[in-house]
Amino acid sequence: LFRLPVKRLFSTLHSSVDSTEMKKFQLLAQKWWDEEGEYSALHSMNGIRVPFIRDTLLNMSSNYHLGSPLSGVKILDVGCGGGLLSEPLGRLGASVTGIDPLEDNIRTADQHKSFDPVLARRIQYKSSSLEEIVEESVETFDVIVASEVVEHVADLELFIKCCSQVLK
Amino acid sequence: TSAAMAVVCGRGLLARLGGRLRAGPRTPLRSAAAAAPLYDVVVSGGGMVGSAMAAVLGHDIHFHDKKIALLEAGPRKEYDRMPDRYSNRVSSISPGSATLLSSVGAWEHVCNLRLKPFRRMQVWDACSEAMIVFEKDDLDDMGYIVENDVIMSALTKQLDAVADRVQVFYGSRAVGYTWPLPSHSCDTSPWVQIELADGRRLQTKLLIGADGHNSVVRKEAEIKNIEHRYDQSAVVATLYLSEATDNNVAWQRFLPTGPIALLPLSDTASSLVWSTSHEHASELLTMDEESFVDSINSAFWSNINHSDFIDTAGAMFRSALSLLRPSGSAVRQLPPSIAKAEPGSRATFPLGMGHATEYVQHRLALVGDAAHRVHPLAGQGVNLGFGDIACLAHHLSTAAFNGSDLGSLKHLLKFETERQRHNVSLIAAIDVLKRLYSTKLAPLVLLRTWGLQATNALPPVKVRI
Repeated sequence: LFRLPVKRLFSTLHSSVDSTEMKKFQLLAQKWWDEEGEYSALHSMNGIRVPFIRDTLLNMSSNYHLGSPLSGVKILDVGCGGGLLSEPLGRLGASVTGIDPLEDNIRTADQHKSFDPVLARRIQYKSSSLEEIVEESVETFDVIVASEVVEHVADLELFIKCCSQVLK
Repeated sequence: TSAAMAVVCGRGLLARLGGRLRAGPRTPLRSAAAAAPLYDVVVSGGGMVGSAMAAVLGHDIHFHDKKIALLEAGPRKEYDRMPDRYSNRVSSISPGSATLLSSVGAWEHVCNLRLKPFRRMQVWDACSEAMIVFEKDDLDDMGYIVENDVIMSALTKQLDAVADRVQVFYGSRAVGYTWPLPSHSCDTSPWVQIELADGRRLQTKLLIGADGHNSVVRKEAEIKNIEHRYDQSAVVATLYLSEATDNNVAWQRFLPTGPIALLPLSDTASSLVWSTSHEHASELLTMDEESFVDSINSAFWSNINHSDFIDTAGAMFRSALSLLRPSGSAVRQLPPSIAKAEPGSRATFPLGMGHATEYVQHRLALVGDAAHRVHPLAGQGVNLGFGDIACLAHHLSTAAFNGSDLGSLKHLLKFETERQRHNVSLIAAIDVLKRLYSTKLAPLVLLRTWGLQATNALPPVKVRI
């Protein structure tokens, strides 16, 4: 893959963020952590997607830290929302950067992790689109997770290109 | 109890619909709570079940980096060798419970201190000849009689072994609990707050209540408890046999006043558990030693409660059974006779039955007697608690390996469903047995006589028990 100059990627015409989708999520920003609310399906899905991610990564590496299976792994959680997936990954030992274009989501996520000192240390949230992150984070992450995200993305090809740039 | 079971089953349906919000003090603002140390799990109550719970979690590989605390109001209990006298509080430990204790390295210590395996249980009626014998075909141990102090000492050693993960607070009684809202908002702490008698505070992501049948945790969580005081007390004592014998049988005879049991401690000593009326229990406690020993021997040997009618009916039924299943009945052994009682070992405590309608709430789980209390006639009490631990630890281990919030109802409800399914029928059955055997009325005696004889003759039913 050839590399696009970073600045040209950032334009409202060619962005991975879809504004109608954003409006929809704005309304639900407070509801993330109600396990039986609007996001209950995502909470249930953690039962499948977290073991899947964990086992995939365990199979790839030969190091295993007792009690902390993802220790040493750097993960970018794209479209992290309220942090529903970032938190379990953080608990398993990973260093997680969660990004979401909606500031309210990031606020909810930050507030939720703040009570747990271990999570507060391991997870960083940024209100940002993927293109904005690319500029500072070329080849920084071991893993990118974009769970339940690509169906909300405006320009998929651009999204994938950015992902490849931030991966080690 | 059928009403109780109906309540329990109905409750399960409401649970998912958010019916688990509690009234009660709310968690404080973040600034006030910030100073209190935060644990992943706090176990309140350091008896056999609480200590085992903390030990099992402490030895779990997925809890390697977690912080666990155990709160125990009493002092630390550890023996390098046991005193010569046996303690009068013993438990019948099932093979399943032994496996659990073995998984944390505690069973080895129990074996090094002292225990008595038994191979056979003989249970019979005072009002008839009916008898049932339990033994394993392969002559394996059916169970073990172990002093409670021995189990505590073994668990204390194994808690020491994981002291980097499990912090034990002795002499620490919890006096207050503050509960969080399920989906917290703004500045309220999402954790359970615990206040100790000396003013110290702790916070935890999951509180496990293992504080016995008068559980403070259960009361503060406002969990409804179905309870019933039996009109019985248990008298315990350490007894010495008239002659040394291969003491590997547990004996229990159902008297109209209640069951009397002899549990082997060694080839020369056995432990008494005699459930009887409160008045009779007081008499047994205060009478002189000779009369006490006579009462025990008479309880096991006397046929004063037999009636000709019942004996004939019983004999007829036995002949009928032997036509159908010629090999159907086992040899009746004779229980040992007692020579003397250990001075100062007589004690009594009241008996009751209890069952919590919920075992779990958000960030809370009950195990052991805090969740359920049974009559000692089946020797099940502590084994139910160890079963709770095995189940809860399994779900928590999976949850930890999945990066889940340990206090989440999602996996706690799975524990509750599994254990209530198992426990409710057993608790109800023990209660029914207690009531069935508390009478001399001929129809009921006949019913239980034939029932016992039939059960004794039918291997499939016996094996399930």
